[in-house]
Amino acid sequence: MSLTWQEIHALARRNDRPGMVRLLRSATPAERAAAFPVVAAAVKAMTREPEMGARTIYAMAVVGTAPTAAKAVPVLRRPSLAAWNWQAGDVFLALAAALELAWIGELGYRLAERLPARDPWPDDWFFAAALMRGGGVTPPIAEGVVRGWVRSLVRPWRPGRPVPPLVQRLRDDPWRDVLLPAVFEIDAIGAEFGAADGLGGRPRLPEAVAALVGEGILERKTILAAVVDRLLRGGRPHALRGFVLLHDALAPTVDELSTHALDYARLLATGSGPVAALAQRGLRAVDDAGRLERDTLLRAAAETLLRTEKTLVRAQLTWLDRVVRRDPSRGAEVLVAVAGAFGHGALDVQERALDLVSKHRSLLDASAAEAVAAAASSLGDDLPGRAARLFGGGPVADSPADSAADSPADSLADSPVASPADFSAAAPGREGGVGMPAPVAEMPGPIADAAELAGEVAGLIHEQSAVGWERVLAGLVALYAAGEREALAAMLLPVVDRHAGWFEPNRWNAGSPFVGLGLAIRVATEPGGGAERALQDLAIAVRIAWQEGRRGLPGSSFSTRPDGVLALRAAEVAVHLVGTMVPMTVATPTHVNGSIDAEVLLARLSRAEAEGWQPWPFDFEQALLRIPRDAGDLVTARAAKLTSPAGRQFAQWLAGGGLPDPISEPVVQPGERGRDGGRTRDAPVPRRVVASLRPARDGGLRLERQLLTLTPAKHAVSTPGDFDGIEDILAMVLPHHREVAAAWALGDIASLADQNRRGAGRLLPLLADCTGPVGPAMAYALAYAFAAKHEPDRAAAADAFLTLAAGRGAGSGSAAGLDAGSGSVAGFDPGSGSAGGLDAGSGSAAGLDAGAGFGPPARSGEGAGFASLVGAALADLASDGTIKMTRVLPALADMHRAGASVAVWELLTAALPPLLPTTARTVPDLLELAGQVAVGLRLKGDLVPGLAEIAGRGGTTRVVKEAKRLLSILSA
Amino acid sequence: MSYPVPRFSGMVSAAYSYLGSSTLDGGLTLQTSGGPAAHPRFFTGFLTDPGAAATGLLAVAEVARTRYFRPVSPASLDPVVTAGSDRLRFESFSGCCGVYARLDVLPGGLDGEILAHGTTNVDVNPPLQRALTRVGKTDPLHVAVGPDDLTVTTFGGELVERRVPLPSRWLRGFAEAQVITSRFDARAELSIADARTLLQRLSATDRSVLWAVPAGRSLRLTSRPLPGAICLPGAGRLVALRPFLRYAGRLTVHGPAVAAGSGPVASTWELSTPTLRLSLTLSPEPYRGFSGEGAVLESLAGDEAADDAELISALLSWDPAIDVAVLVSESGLDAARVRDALTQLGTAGRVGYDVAEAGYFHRTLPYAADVVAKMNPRLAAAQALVEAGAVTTGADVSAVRSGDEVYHVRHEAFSCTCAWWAKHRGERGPCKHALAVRMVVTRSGVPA
Repeated sequence: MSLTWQEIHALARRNDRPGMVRLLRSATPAERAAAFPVVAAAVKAMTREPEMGARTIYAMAVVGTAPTAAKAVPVLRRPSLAAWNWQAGDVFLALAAALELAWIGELGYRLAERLPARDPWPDDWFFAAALMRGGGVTPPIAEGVVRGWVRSLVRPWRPGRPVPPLVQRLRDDPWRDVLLPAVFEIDAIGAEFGAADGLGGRPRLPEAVAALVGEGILERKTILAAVVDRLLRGGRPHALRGFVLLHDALAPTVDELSTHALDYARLLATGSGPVAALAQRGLRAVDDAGRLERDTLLRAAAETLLRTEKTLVRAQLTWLDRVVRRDPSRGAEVLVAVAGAFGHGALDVQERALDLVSKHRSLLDASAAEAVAAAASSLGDDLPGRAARLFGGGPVADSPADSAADSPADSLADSPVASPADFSAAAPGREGGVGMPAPVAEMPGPIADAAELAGEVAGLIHEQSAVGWERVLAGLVALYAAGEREALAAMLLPVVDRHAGWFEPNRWNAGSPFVGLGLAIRVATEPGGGAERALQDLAIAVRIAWQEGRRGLPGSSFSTRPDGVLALRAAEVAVHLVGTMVPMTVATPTHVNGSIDAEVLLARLSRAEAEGWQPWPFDFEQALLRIPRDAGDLVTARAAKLTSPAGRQFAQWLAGGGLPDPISEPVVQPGERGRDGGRTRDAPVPRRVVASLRPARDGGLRLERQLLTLTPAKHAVSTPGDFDGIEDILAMVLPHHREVAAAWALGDIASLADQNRRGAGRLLPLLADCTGPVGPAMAYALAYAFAAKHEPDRAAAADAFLTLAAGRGAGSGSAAGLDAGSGSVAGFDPGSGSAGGLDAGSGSAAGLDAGAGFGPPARSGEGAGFASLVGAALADLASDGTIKMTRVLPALADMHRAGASVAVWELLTAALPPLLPTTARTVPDLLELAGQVAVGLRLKGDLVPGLAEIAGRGGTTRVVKEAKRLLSILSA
Repeated sequence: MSYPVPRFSGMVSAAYSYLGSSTLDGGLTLQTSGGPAAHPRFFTGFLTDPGAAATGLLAVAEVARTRYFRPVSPASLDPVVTAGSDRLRFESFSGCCGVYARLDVLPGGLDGEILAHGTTNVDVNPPLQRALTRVGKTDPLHVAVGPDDLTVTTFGGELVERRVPLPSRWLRGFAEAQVITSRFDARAELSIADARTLLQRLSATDRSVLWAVPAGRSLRLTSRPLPGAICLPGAGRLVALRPFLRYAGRLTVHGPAVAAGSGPVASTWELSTPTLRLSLTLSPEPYRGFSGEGAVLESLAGDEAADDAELISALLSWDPAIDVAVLVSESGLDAARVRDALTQLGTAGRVGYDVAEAGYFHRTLPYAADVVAKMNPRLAAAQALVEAGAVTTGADVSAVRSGDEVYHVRHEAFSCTCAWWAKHRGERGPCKHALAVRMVVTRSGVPA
């Protein structure tokens, strides 16, 4: 038996650990040193990972022959030896003892140093720790080490025996004094420190540390200072939770708290919610003991009063009130600080601060009164008037004080500057841009040459876009017709070959428009290019679509949804490009929303007639679907003169008024509990409102029936994602029937709010740029998107709402119309003015089981404004918590600020009546916003049904207070 | 002025060497490393608004130690400070290469003497950060940037040395952020109350790309760009501004011109007091570092700019703003070439850009940045393609063979059929194929 690789290998195969120890012991130090390069080279040369047990043997050979720990580590860390240390700490310690290796502890140190910072494998830590313990070495202070140590304390890994309580383990831990300080110093360890032991458990480590402090093992002063330092450094709430718990467990005395008073003041001002709350309690205790400097208090208060957490602000106001009462002689400066809360975003906070200042106003000296009056300029709603009466000065001081005292709302109306400056843009069209809907952009020019086409095709693979697809299809047909076959082959084939997975038909991409495009490129560049089979399949699918008006199985792999039309058209190009002499596509839009100028289509068809060709059938049908609702008499008259089949059909289409709006109705998808009582993937939400579609007529275009027929599934689909990333392709199929696109995508959009998904909101601004009546699908889509989890989707809803609000002619001075007190909403004129033509006009929808509250009955008979529809949808969804109304509020305020106040008012007056009787938490906020809008628009009258009942209910709940406030604003 | 470059080990780490740790003990002493001397001394005197300055300095230090995208382990690169003729500028660049922070202490904010001009690293250690959080609004604060001469000459203790990884993309990004901001204009100005409302509303973890348009006195969030809009990419990255809100008087937002349909772009968010300006510049998307933005590749591709840059750099003199007209008359170059040369110097880390003053300022990063600027990977790859003869020029379209693939570059827009171009569509500069074609075409005199 000699120390050769063959021998080591043999032992490894037998997994003979004692044999390995014997072999190494039998060799002399010189022999072992000589063997190391051989072992290292052999390990390096391993191509296959050996078995688990064998790896340990090889690792023993490495450790047993290596001259130093530093030399051993790189060999041990070879990927082929991964997990060689699995539960083997004792083995290596025994080996070290047998060979008298002095550096076994150092080996542990070096391995520990290399533990990954984020997620060290527990075994790696335990092994390194075992070696360090055995070798009497102190571990390095590195993130991976500290993390491994904390984790092993919180959640013991594979314990073979019963584990003693955490406090005891921490008390006995030899490395506690080395590693515990690092827990406070390394930011990323915070989450581990506050981690619970198991699901639903509570964090034990903070308690254990506090217990050792109590025993005097850890120094109280040091630990408390470290906690405060850590909190000051800040971080995500979950990283600080453990330290907040530790702070609470330490229960600092007033003496201790006051030594850190400056720190707490800073935490109160800038810490995260729970930290600030802790600081507030601490400072208050110091103040109650009369040991807090006034300056420190006031400086912290100034910041705290502007925090978003109302609980903190209210507590701060109560505290300041107490300070004033305790020492009235210095009350003035405190009251000036209280006036800082006038700048808070919430009206109830402002009011509370105002009440507080007015209660103590006798304490104000001249300069303090001036400061308070100046701060009052940022008050909202009817509060500036009250402030002016109390403190003089300020914006309305010039008006006779007596009259202002009697009717604050009047003084507001008289003095426009009294309205909160934040909303100075409330008048429609002033700054935010409502009132001038931007014209829809025209399509970029056609593709000029084969190289540009190749670039665009490559671009589609990275990110599909409707505009890109239309230009590519048009470009391919036009360049082929122009005889550019060679250039097309040279430029396009490399792209198609490079992305064969997209273009070559296979089982994963069946029905994709890329397959059609790829085949079209093949037939355009290499006649008889060997794709006959695939081409035949496509031809069959295209024929089915023509004969049966059907996309989808059997026989057709195109999507049954509207996006299948694009794949169908791409397939049509592939099938017909070579056989027919068609030089151009006719469905290529003139505008980026998908619309085609009727005149342009007329010119294309006239050209076809003159040159003697017929447009491809689905290309032509898509073109018809893209014609604006009102093509104009001139075009209609000129179209009537066309004689070709397509020309005659075009003329008929125009004369018949185009595609009739389908019947769109809201449908409730109820939830269902699984066998365990929980939500299942098949019914993930308690309730979702989607929409169904059915055509208003039989027959029509081949594409018509399938596009206008939508029957939602019984239960909500958990993650629909039907139109992920192709929202614009959906919108471009029917650019003048946005309700249809909204209905198809409503599941996607609802999942933004009820499944916290993201992205589908992109569709809404596109639909706002389209035309057509707004029905239940659009209304619910906007409502859901306003309540989306992610800000971009909410912003998209606001964009769409603003465009819609601008589109109905805000220039008509509708604010004045409302001011007249009639309360009627200006008739909604969506493009062709056929809102009433939609079956889902308010009355009928309300009759459906889904439509609880949909379409306010008060407006029945008239086509309600789109904003009222959205308001009713919001109320319906918010009434049972299907959506979170708190997410909706900022967007509503944004839109008011951006100038869409009239539409926001319509929305609110539709949403409030059904919500007022409920206990929805956001009702007071909605009332507050309504007050702001009413002040901005100077509305008067009984405009909100049910408001008086709530206001007259008595009590001091916030909803009653806000209702009273709104009522006083509205009643002249 | 010649710069001793700090020791580098194979361009992978920066070695900081300080005479001691920076301390706040009665006065603030910031220790320095590298630049015009081993431990230069730039300033001694008082900060007139110490609370705000301390908070601003903390914000700069926070950016330096943060990775906003995929926070693996905290970066530990130190901020740099530049002493110009009348002001101090503290700069830092996040570990993810996506956020650039700067605190300008304007002449009114300093009451003391600028002893020397130049740029150096400053040590901002955790105990100092802790002490800085306790600086009150009104306490007068003495500050010294750099050790005094006596300390330097009699120093017998042990240096505080740290060696941290210094990826070349970090250096490139730091330098390139300047060039990108040089195309910005002020787009919105908000009162501090409105700014607070806006920042409070933005989620601290938000990584999505939003846009904002002026509405009323504030900004309204929107989902798509419009002319005049400001991009708000990864709003969570603005969190470092929050503590400074209580001192600031207004928020100014700078950004490039955008049109409907623009992709995400960078933007600068600046809080200012009469004597201080704290700004954060965000990269166009949280995952995109400034290093890959390719904003300067075109000007780097020529040799002329490099020569001009050498000439211009000799004329720079630590003025708070570089006056292009003066440089034109001194160098004899025309204004366009001076600007190109400044772009080149910006990429090399030898000038910074101040959006508030809309001008470059003299500042030389205390790293061996010149070398890095020339090693731009895309430029190197393009050069390799040219040398391998991979480019076959045509009249309007050139073919580039790269590996087994053939790509086509249109001369009109220098667009390409490669996947990289398809993904970015020119928003991150030209691809290597287009750069290679441009090099060949300009050299052979074919009109581009």
